[in-house]
Amino acid sequence: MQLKFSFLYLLIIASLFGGCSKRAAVLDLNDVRMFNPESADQILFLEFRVSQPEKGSLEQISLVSSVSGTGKLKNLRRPVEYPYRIQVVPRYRTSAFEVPMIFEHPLFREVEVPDPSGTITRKKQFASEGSFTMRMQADPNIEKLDFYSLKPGQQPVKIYTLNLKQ
Amino acid sequence: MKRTFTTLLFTLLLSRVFGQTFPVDTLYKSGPVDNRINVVILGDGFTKEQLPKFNEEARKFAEFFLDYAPYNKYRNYFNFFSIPTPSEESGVTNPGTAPDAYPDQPVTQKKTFYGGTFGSSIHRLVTVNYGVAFNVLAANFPTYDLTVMLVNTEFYGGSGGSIAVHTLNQSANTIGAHEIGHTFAALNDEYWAGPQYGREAPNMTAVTDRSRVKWKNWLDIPGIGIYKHGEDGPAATWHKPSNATCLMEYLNQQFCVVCREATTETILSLVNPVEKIEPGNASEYLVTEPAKFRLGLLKPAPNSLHVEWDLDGKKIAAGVDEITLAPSDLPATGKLTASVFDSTHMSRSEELAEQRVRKIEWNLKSNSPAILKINASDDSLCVGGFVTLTASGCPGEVSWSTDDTANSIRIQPDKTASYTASCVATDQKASITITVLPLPVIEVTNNGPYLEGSTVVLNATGASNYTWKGPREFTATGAEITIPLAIKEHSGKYSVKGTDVYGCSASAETELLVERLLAVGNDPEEWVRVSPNPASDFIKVATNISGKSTLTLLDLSGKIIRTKTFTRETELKLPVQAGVYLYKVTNGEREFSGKLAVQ
Repeated sequence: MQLKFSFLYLLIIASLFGGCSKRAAVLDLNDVRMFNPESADQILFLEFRVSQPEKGSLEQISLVSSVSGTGKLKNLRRPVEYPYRIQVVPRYRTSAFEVPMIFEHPLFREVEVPDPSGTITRKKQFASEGSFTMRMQADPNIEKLDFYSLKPGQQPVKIYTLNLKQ
Repeated sequence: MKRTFTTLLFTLLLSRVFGQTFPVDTLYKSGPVDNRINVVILGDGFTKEQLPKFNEEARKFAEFFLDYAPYNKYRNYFNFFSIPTPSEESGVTNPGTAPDAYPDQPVTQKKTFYGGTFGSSIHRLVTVNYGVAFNVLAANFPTYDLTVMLVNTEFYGGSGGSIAVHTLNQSANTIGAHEIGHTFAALNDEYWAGPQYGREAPNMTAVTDRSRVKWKNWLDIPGIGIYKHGEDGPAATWHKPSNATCLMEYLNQQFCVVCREATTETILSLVNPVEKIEPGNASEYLVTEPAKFRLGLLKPAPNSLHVEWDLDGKKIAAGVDEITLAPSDLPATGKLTASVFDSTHMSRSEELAEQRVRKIEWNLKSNSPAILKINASDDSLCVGGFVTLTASGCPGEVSWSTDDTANSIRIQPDKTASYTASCVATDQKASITITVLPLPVIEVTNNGPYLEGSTVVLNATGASNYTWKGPREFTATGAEITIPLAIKEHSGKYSVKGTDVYGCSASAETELLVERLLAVGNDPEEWVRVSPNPASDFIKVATNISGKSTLTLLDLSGKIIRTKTFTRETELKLPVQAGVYLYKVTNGEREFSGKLAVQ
């Protein structure tokens, strides 16, 4: 029974997003849903699934969906303060300033909990599986995206690379 | 097995909405998406039949947001859209397992579009499936700037993150406003969330020096200070601008002025107030006849945009959205610059003020013959002012009646006079008369000294408009100013700037004295006694202090009625009407005041 579900899952993933693996994958932008190569301003939405099979082990990450839209992003990004983070560094084919993008780590989060009295508290939410979506301006000069896991008191650890093809 | 199954469900849920398009409803549109801040509202737990209700709730949130300071000053800098997505079932899942679960809320599992649910361990933590939400946004409104998710239940709850999630409960709207504060202006929490959140932010700092702290310009506002987050540990090293009076600390508060400043600066960095220019400036513009140069401005309410027009670096107009230039106004070629500056009071940042200036330039060419002309930055000015005279239409050197030789001179005339420019190359001359206006003579009085509790009256004459400044951040406008229920701390220098009908200004000062009103006591050891009280036609005043004492009788407005100097004991006739009066007895440093009833 378990084998059947695993096989079905892998089949769906493979059929939707062929080419993904645990540590590196290739995304052909022409395969991204609604991607318009004729449009100069494209926005990519990349949905990643992150899991940690064992406590303390390296996170496993995979691309589970990709959608594109037309337009230009304004420079507006929510700051991530909690020390557990996913950092994505765009690597360019040409010389360019690599500005890392920081995302909330889906497995190690602290969420704000509101109260009708007006007070707010924070609550840790640890999970072994989760997902996050990154939104970025498409740039044909980006060769790949390197993903790092940032944890307090530890050096950044590279956990995944997504090579971009167009 | 369980994990695999969860993963499969997750994947299936995502693939169901993958790239799915929905109608995008416009709730409030003030302008083009690329020059506005676009807020997209999503809804969970609304069935197909309930989608009109969702749009109504989304509209209500948009109105709440646009009425919230400082967004209310910049309503037309925002667009609001909603994306209705029908849920199979109405409402939200309630696992009912959290200790703080609402006893009157039914435990239920709902099939909703975004899988919204109350928390299983913290009940009011309402979450949705972010992956589904991002897929809807990607396919339907990829350029959104802010997103809010409304969950269809009246029970209170919500959560933070890149999508602000909250329910329809009346108190829940501020969850969205607080979360947008994080996302939009990078504001930090003003409640102590733990050392991991200590960072330099617009509303958080480790700096305690009042002259260097980033909100130093706001320290004169009541309630704004440099407050420690806690008394010990890391909390004591981080500081906030307000103490329990900001939305970033309590959801039942408004933004403090420091958070408003950061929010306002973010709005102004994202939206260009110059929406349109006429004519275009892509190429050189040939002025063959009087031509209008016009700015289409996106004005806040109230309008805080200030426009200044310069021709070749010399100011030619201000405060208007359009000007007209004739060929004869121009040299053969010139550069026209319009500078648009938002002088909003919501920000006091000197550094960011420079970034708020937007400049538009036109390269101009005139087909007029070279006629020598003089342009003055002002043709009339007040004594002490400067004016710049600029000659145009001369192909070479210009000499002036002031013995200067330059295209442009800056003068400070002390009386009305004419100035002549001579073009050496063409032997043309041109003259201009500059009118010098006298300054107003301002006189100011205060009718003091006053006793505490009385009404202070400050009067100024000599001009038509007056601006007052004084102790305790006192500001006022008008010729006559009253300060009711004066206290000793109102004492000090009050300055008034008077401006006459010609715009000339001068200042004057007055020293106001408000004296402490001491309580009347029955202690026989007191050094002064006044009797009878109530009195009818006289009072007797006795003191056990040697030396000269002064008795002063005042009415309740602080006006002195009688003064008498005496030693040890005196009587004072009361030629006054019945009522309550004030008396004051002074002896050296000692002072005693009280109320006197006259029958």
